Amino acid sequence: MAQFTSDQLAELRARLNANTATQSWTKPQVNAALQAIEDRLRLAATQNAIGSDIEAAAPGVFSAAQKQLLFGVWCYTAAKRLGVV
Amino acid sequence: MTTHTTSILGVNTVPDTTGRCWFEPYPIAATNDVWGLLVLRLKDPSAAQAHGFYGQFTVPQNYVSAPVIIPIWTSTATSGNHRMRFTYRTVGGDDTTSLDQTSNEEQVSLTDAAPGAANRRMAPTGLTLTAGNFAAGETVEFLFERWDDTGTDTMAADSLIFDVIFQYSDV
Repeated sequence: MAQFTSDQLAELRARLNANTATQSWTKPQVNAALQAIEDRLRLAATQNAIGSDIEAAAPGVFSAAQKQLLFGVWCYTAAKRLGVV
Repeated sequence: MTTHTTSILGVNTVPDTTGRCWFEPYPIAATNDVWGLLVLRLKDPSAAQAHGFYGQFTVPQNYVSAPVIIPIWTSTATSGNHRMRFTYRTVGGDDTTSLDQTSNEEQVSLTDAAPGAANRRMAPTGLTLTAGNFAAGETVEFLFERWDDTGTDTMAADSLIFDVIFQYSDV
């Protein structure tokens, strides 16, 4: 699990703020929430679960690196849907 | 006792070189694009970051005592604390004292809670300065900053500075 630097957190907060008219949370609260997401997605169990789902859907097709790429593409789509990018 | 106020922002007010403070039209942050005046944006700071703007003003001729710096500010955040710092140096005389000083005279800080609702006018009681440092007619060189010294700035959004006021008494 990677620890966000304070500069990374500042950038993430700025992106969050750009999509919210009012910020009812404090900086420590949003920092902790972002770190929690990072921690969860960095867990081997989480990554293995997603990898297994891909494997079940398309057995033997995608390498580990390609699975990561698929996940990245999905994140991009999700971000666009939320208006973050 | 009569209390007076005067803005200390002026033609030579300038953001520092951090890239985390700048002038912008208020409608960029405001919801209603009605009041298109210029405001100073101070970014939400990372831990230990400080950034702000420089300027100078002249101590009014009827100044006697009780100097206070009052920032007029707002934000879209409604939680957390906004930490500010004011650093200055007074320079008086005629052909006697350098304006190119190597140190400040005083540095004071203030913590103000975030607005209760987004975009509310914030006018804290201010940063109280040392009265004896000022004399009528002197030039005051200053730096006003947003400052997250030890995680004390907990407001998770940029702040907008509308004005910075010098308040004083003439008795």
